[in-house]
Amino acid sequence: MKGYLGEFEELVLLTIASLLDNAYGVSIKTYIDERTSRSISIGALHSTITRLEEKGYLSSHLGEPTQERGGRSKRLYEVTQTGKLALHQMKNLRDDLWVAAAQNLSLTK
Amino acid sequence: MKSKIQPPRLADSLFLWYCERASVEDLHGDVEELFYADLEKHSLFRAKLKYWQRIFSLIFSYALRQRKRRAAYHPYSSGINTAILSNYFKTAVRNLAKNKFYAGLNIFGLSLGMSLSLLFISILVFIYRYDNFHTKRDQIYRVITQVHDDVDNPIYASTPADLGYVLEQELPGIEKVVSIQGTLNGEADYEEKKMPVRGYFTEPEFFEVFDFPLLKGNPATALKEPNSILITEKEAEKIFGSKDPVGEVLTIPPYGEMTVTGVLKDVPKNSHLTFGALASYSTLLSAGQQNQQLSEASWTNFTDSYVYFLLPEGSSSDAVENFLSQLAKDRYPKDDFLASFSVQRLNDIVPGVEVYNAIGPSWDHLSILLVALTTLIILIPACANYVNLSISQSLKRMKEIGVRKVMGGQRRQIFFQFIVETTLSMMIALFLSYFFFELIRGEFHKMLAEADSMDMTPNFITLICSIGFALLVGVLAGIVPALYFSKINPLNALKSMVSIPTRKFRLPGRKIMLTVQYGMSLGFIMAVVIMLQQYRYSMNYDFGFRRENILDVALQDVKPQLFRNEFGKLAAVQSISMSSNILGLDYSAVKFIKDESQQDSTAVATISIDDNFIDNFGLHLIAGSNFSSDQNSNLRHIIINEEMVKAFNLGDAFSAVGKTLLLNDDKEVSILGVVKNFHYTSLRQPIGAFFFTSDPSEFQYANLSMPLTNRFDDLTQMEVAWKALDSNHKVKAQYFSDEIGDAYSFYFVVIKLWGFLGLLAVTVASIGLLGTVAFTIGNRLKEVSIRKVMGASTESVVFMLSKDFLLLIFIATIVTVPIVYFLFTKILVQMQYYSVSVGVSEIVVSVLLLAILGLTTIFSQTIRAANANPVDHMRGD
Repeated sequence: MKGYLGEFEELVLLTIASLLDNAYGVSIKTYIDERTSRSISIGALHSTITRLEEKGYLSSHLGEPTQERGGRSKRLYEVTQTGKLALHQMKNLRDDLWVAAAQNLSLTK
Repeated sequence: MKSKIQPPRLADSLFLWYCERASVEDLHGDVEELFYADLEKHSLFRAKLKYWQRIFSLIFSYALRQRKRRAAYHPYSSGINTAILSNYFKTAVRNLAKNKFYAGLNIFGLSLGMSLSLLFISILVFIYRYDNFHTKRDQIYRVITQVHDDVDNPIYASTPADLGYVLEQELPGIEKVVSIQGTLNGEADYEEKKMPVRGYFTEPEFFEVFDFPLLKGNPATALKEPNSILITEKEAEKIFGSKDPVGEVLTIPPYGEMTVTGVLKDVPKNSHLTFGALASYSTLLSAGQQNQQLSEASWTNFTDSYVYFLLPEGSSSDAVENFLSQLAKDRYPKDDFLASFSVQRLNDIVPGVEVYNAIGPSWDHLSILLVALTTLIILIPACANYVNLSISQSLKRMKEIGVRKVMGGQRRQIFFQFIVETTLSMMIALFLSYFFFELIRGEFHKMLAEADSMDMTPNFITLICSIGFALLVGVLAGIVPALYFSKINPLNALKSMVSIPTRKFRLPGRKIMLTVQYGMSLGFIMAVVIMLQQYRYSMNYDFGFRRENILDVALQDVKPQLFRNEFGKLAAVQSISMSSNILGLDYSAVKFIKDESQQDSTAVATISIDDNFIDNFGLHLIAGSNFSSDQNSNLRHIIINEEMVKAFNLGDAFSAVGKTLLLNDDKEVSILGVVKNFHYTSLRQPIGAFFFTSDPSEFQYANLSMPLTNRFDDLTQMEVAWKALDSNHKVKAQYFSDEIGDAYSFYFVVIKLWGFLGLLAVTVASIGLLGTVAFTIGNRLKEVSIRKVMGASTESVVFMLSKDFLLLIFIATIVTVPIVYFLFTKILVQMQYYSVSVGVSEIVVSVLLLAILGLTTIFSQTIRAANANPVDHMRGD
């Protein structure tokens, strides 16, 4: 497995995937903020995005300039094929572990 | 309404300033969008605060750092790849080929500097390989003694002889203790042949601690029995030839017959223990030399005993250290003699602290440092010249650098390019320097005191080290030019406007450097000239006795009377005298003598002579008479010198004759005569009180007075005569004047060493000067041409071009001469009591020599420039 996918990295990757073609800094931040009810710092978010880009899990392009951003463009992110593979691998691993651990993790017992 | 409220301007400008050229449009947009979103939920102040927070969080984030890094380089110039490296290499080679003159000078200078460095490296490599063949070297220690005399507190490598025994008996936890006695030093007698043998007495544990393999014999038993001896392969071949030495018997006085129990492999040169033979320690005990076991006296005597011990793997020496310090307190309770013991790791012995009584060759840190310093004295100016010359040539390379920068070459890359160039020159210099190194290696070998036990042949490690060193020097020497070039603004470079910053470099640094180099060269030249003068002075000094036509023959075991009879028959020998020492050399004996009224005896130098001696050496008797031929009356008389008359308050020379003194506290001797002062010892010491005795049992030398007309015949005759007296030894004869000469030969070593360094220094300085002069003139060719066209004479042009450099040499002279003068006035007196003071002639000769060298260098360039046809340099304009 190329590179290790951290918990936060996985979260960011999945968020970007679920935001379809509107994944940029602010939208990702608000999405995560709302869902996890924790406030992530913009610096930490962009650092993680940079790392994911370096690992080849993300690609990006500049969008159109927008009024509410002082006329500045957004950078829109997309999960690449390798990113998808990494996510699937992670999920498979989880699923396997869940199956194996099902007995112990049963909440009803 | 919304558009009126803006994010904090200060935060924005801080952010943009910090981001430099990095692309952060999206990040900036993000924070601004979040700011407006915040405005809807929070107060303005809160929103601004959060804005600041986010800006800082971005500034310190990994994201921004990466973006900045990416923005710093052109996409095509990121990193250094092989293509660009080969381009640097090619440019460097072309540049060297284009400027053959400067490149040649540079590389020649560097290689001179490097050759000395190579020498230093090979010495260093050798030293650091010392004792590395012992497999247990990390566990081996030796005990050293420090005597606290409140003056020097000298450290001795040796210990009291019984310390090893005590350590073995009283301290558990030591694996092995081995005592070594370094006194095995004598002539081994084997079937009428005598061979000098030198080595140690030691115990069988020696082989368990150290790795000295035996070729023959059993290491466990070979040194067990008294009077057994092991000899090295080399010695065995000298004594026994091809015969198997095991079981043979050698006679070594005073220990008697020793049986050879084995053969040792030759001791490697990088061992601090050096021996030709090892004898069993029990020999000493049985010979009764060592049986003062644990007596008081033996603890204050530690001249030749050494104790080494082996600790079990992984244990520390603290316990031994504590035991030893307690032991020292117990053994030296009194204040009159204080000493302490400590342990020294085998790895710290060579190179290590300076110790007395070293068991073998030693290198202390100070002497290594001195060698390093000498190396740097030559290497640094050579590198400085390199820097100087490369920057001088910078104008020619401006365009190249400008183009490189415009095409996207980063500062860091230009820097790297010049480092590559310097390193390349350095590598060529290293290659060349090997030839110089081979030339000087032999000479240096002879000069160093420890040289005979040194191995400086280059090996793989030396090669690696010297390449590493050359790279290091290359980088260091390259830094200044590389920084300079990389700083150049490409616009100015392309417009050829960079002559402005060069001036900054040109002014003080370069001239100071040349001046210092010339000063140093002058210093070396003066030192050599002064030393030569000193040597000549010593050789021609009037010692107060005759030196010519005297041959000193060592008596060895021959009785003086027999010698006189046999050699008296030779036609060439005019007269024969006997003496216990040789005059005028450092080693005359000392005896204690006192006046009857005095409490304590004084140590006074003395030589024992016969009645012919005074005539033979042309000494001048002022008062009294010579020894007579009557042996018994001679023993009761002494002859003193003028200085002794004064020292013992004996009035004048005439009244001194007949007075009695006490020799060695008990023997009454009367003064037979007084001789005029003469130099009984070397010129290093002042003439002090001195007396002659006449005791035939002390005679060591016969002094034959014989003209040197046909040396060869006389010597063969003498050898025949000697054969009749003593067939065991070879005749040892030397001309007295040669012996005196030898005593001052150390001047030659100094002269050679300094001469060599001086030669290097002068060459390097001349190279620097030549390069600078040639460059300066190259830049002024147009000016010279215009001047000539306007009617300036050749002489005036030469003067104009040379005057800066002449001034430089002049300043170097003015500064150096007084420094060297005062230094040597101090040194010479310390070196030799009767020394010549530094005279005007030496200074004049040195300065002239330097001036000739400097002027030739300068004028060779300036005259050529002044004689050039002006048309050649102006045609282009």
